[in-house]
Amino acid sequence: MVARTAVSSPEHILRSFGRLALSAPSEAAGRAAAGMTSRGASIASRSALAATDALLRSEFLDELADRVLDSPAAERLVARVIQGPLFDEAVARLLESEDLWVLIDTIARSPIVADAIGRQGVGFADQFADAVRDRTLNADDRLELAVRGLLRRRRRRRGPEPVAADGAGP
Amino acid sequence: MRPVAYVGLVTRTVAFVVDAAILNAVAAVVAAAAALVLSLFPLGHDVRTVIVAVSGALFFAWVIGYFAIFWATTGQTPGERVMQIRVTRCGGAGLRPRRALVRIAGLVLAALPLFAGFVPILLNDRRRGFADWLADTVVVRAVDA
Repeated sequence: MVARTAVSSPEHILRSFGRLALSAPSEAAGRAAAGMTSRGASIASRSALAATDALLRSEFLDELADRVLDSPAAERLVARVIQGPLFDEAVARLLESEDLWVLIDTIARSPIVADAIGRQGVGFADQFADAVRDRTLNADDRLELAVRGLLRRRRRRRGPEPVAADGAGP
Repeated sequence: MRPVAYVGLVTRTVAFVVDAAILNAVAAVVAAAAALVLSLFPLGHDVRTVIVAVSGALFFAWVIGYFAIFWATTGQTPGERVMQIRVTRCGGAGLRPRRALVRIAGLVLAALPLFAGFVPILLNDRRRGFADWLADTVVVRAVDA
């Protein structure tokens, strides 16, 4: 045991020293390279962001989007997506998700929606009442005309008439 | 003197139908609630008869009160409001409660001889029936009143 230690110790020290002497310059070079790479990447990403900003500011992108969306290919693509299984799967997953119903519940309870529904209901009722009024007013005239014709009486004076203040009989 | 459009028989009938629906709906709800409460108590035959008579009287009062109060206050019942018509005096003034009661009596009397009391509405220029003649009233478009 003592002999083994005595043999291995100087060799070990020499080897370690040698490795250290060899690795020190290469690690420094590696660190330098890494630093350069990182700086290069940073510059490249900044340039890319600037280019993206410039692109987004330009009208080219709008025009490109318009052309793509107006093209028949876009329509075909949308149709394929809607008809395909991907869309059905997405809808099925959406319907299964609890968040969707929470969202719907929140929207349904919102005062804006309640107000809109209420206004629509009132509007519909008003529309219906207006239609009924118009028809009944016409029916008033027609019925009266028919009865007067039957009894051979003169036609009622048309249009608005002045109110009589005397309260005379019919 | 201001222009007024008098309202004919069909519009008035529709307004009355709406009023009748309201009257009967309210009466039915109240009667159902009362019947539910009374079902908790054991009631004899005589008591039931009295309750039915009282209920009939209450319904009668409810109908009279409904028309009289609306005519004497706003000049139009809810049904007449829907049809945008109004009951006024011939001079355009509102009705007093007594006149409103007279008009109700006139409506009942007009209906008794096979609704013959409503026929004059079709034949005179101001479209007045027997009840209007009795109470000195006219039925006009609310937008013109």
